[in-house]
Amino acid sequence: MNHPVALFLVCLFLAGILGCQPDAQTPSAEQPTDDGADSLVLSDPFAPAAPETGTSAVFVTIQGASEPDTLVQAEFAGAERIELHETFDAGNGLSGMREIEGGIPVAAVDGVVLKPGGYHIMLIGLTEALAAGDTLAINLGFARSGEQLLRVPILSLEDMPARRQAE
Amino acid sequence: MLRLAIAGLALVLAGCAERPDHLSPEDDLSSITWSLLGQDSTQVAFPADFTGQPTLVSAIYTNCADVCVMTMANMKRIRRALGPDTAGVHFVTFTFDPARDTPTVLRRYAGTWGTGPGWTLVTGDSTEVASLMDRLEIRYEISRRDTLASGTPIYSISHTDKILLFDAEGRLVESYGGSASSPEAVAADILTLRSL
Repeated sequence: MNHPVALFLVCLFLAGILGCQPDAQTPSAEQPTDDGADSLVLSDPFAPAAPETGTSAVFVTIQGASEPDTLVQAEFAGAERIELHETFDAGNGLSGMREIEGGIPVAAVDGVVLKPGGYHIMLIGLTEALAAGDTLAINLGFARSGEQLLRVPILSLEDMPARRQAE
Repeated sequence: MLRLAIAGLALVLAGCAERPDHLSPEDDLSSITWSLLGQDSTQVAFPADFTGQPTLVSAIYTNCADVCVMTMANMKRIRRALGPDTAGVHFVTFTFDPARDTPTVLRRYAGTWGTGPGWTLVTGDSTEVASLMDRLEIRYEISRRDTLASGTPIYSISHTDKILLFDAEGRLVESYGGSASSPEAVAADILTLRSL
């Protein structure tokens, strides 16, 4: 058996294994999957540290699939309430937060970035502290793509990405 | 970073610089005292307790996990941009949600956020807080009320997003975008004030 043929067979074998993975549609922060244009790819998640009974938020980049999708719900056992939010210009120089009715739209291909000053997943009434350096697991529900488990690093203020005026 | 370097160089070369126009006093608060509470429940008199050196002020509420967290992160970046010697600058963060942000809550957040020495989180009587916020032109209004399953009431607050710089005499000299200002530019202004 020459090398190109062997390589081809190995690739076929690996492709078969990956296609049978029961959690093939469960990407994590550390290992986002991209098994084609019809899958969402979640990357760069983070949440700021917060004390027990406090409030935090999850931010993540969602690369879209070939069809539009919608993030319709999020489940996290460590908070009394989870809401899909956006920060908006409330007029008169005020910045406000509001719940998104109907979910957060995920554009085809381009997707959506949940980032400070924009869309985010609000964690209200934390039942335990979110400590910097730990990771939280949140289950995201998409209208088209179904559920995806996301592992989110919890960051200290020092590690939070900067928000700039241009945003 | 360039502005910071220039300001630092100016500090060394000039020793005693002239106040640039953009750091001219805009509002003198030194004749007024707001009686408030620090995160350790001690009395805080603003601005009297913070005169003698420049003071950087922000205003947030701890149930805001987006803009307010970014403002706090920016305050930290500003402090880091000042270099190792931050003893000559006061950092003060007011809550405009004193009903929920008690000294105990602020103390918990100060620990989580790692604000450390030289950075005071301040709450107080709601009327006194409202008076100070009004003078600082920091506006806030409750935008939504709800109740958690546990019975805990929740609400969101729409608010102004800015950081303010006071000189050593308790005069407001400059304001910046809170969550999105350039840490290096603010640090440069602080260093300039310290050189006066």
